Amino acid sequence: MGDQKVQLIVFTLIFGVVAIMGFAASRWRRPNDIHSLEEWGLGGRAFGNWVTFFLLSGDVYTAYTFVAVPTLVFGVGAAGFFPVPFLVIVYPMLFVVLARFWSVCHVHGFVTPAEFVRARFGSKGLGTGIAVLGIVATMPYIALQLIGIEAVFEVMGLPKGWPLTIAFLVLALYTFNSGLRGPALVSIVKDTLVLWSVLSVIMIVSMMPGGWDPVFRLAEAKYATSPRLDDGLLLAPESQLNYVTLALGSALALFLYPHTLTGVLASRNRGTLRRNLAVLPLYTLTLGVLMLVGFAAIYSGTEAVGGNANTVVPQWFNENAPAWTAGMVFAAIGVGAMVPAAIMSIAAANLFTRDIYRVYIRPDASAKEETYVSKTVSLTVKFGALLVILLLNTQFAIDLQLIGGVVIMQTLPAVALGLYTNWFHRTALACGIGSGLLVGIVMLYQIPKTNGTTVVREHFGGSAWPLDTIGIDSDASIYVGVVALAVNLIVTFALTPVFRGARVPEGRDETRDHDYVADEGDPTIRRMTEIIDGEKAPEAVAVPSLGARFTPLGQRRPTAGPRPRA
Amino acid sequence: MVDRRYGSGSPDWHHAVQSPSQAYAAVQPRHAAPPRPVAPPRPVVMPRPAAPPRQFRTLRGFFRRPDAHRRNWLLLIPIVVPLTPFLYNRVEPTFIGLPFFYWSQLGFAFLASIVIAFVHTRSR
Repeated sequence: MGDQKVQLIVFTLIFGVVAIMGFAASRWRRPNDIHSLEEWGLGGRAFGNWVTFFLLSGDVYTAYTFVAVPTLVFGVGAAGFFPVPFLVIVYPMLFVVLARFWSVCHVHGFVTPAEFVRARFGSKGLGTGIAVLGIVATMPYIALQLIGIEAVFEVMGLPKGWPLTIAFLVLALYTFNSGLRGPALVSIVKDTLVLWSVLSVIMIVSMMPGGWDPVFRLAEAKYATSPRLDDGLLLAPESQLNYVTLALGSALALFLYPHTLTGVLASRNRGTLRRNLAVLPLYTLTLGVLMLVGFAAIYSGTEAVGGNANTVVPQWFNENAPAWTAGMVFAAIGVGAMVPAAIMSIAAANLFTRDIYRVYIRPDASAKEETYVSKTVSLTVKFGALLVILLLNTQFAIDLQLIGGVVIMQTLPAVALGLYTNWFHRTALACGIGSGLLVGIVMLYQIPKTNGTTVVREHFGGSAWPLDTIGIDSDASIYVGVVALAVNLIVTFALTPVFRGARVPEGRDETRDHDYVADEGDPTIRRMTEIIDGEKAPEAVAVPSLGARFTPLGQRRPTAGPRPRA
Repeated sequence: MVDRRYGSGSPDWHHAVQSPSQAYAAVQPRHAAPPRPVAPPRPVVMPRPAAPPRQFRTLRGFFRRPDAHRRNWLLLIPIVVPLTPFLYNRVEPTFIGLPFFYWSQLGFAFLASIVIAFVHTRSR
């Protein structure tokens, strides 16, 4: 039996198991009523330590990361290693911020970050803006996941069209059926496969004569002879600024992506979340080892298949690993694309349902209707991504994702700083987002794409903005997102006193200080017991000392009729 | 059975019960200050409808959160250290053939994990 056949059989088997698990997931911890957005879109907000770990790792470490980043390392060396510091620094940042986000979203029943912004700054428009930015940033990210699967199919010798369509059809249907439970269950398979891939890399390289030492020597020699100036085994002095700002900016963007926040909200309590954030940095080690495959591919003389640079990693496994292991690695990439794609589409669908549909189209939509809209939108989003990849250029998706990262970073003052203070004026926040977007997109437009030595394309050629564009005499470049965010912050901080002084009406903050530290046992979080045990929690009156802090869930706006007395 | 040892609750003694304040008022010491002149009754003011509570917006709340603690500043270590390439941008010392640049950055993952675990266990 040929190698390719074995690979294909292993891949198909694992894919079949995953598809069955995805559909069966809807019966996993089955609630009485799956037709609510909390059940479909957040898995009942009741995931424990292990499931949260798998969900978050499946969410953050996507197939595109596993495929594209080693390719970058293969091409430029040290400068491509930035995801490792980025995925280390992001967890201490998340540790302080996410617990507050979890609490406020549970007390008020929020499903999306945009709902939080709407309540915190009392602005419908700002909330919608955040939702639109979230959807715009997420959609190209879904398309990128397809690029990961595509690379695997190319190495296995499959054509581009129908296998990708079948894979995505399976994904779309089980997401439609099971909601967030699907990717949560499937990501357990994904992590097992990734762990095996990492172990196989370590074993293969250890069995090479000399281990890692000759691998790096050969890589150094290759970078020394290449005509490119920005490559090397170490960072060139002028590329350090870009390295640092890219790591910082990517970390900030990762926190703000709606799909990360969706994964976070599905955890059971603050402790679960914080425990996971302490463990997840270790998962970065798996990515780090897979990035070293980029160097191993130089050593083995691996060539990309069919001119698609992203095939370097699968091709290295194809050449160096036994066929069944290669099949498992391909399945790891394939499944690793399905999990985040599902979560992203759910996140985008929730944003649409809660912040556009329920705000502007049907304010009194029932829970069942909400869920139905969300399911339909998640299907639409996924097929949109599929069409982009099949009909348009792959490069188009990569460019859009580049812009998406800069776009999502602009929500930082409203979402992340908003968790700490409501000092900002809503109009100032909107102005800050607008100016940040403008600066970011203009800067991205100015960046030419170079092939190391020559200019290939005039505009939108990357995210590293050369400082000499505005006449600074330096070879260094800087990540666009960080500059745009700085502009955004300056505008927001400067305009807030101006608007306040001019008595521009402010929004009403509907959250209280206590909402940000409430945990599972807190009487303000009634919802948890209702979901887990299926029974109504005792009324908040039972605890008189905290009764005064009780905030009703759901509709927060004053309704018609007399207010109930406390 | 209802416990009737202490009666049904209504007092049946003859004298009116004095509340403590009335009882002590009778025996004022001689050196006590003369009773204050009774203030003239204030004009009755109709209560205004309460204005909605104004929301004060300052940045001060950032430092006075219930979940703020000095310990949390420790988290800055794993954020700042990986962002200083001049510390680790070198080949030597190598570890199982990996240049320092690569294995140190992988090591920062352990650093971050340990610091977060420390802060988490202490703040429970």
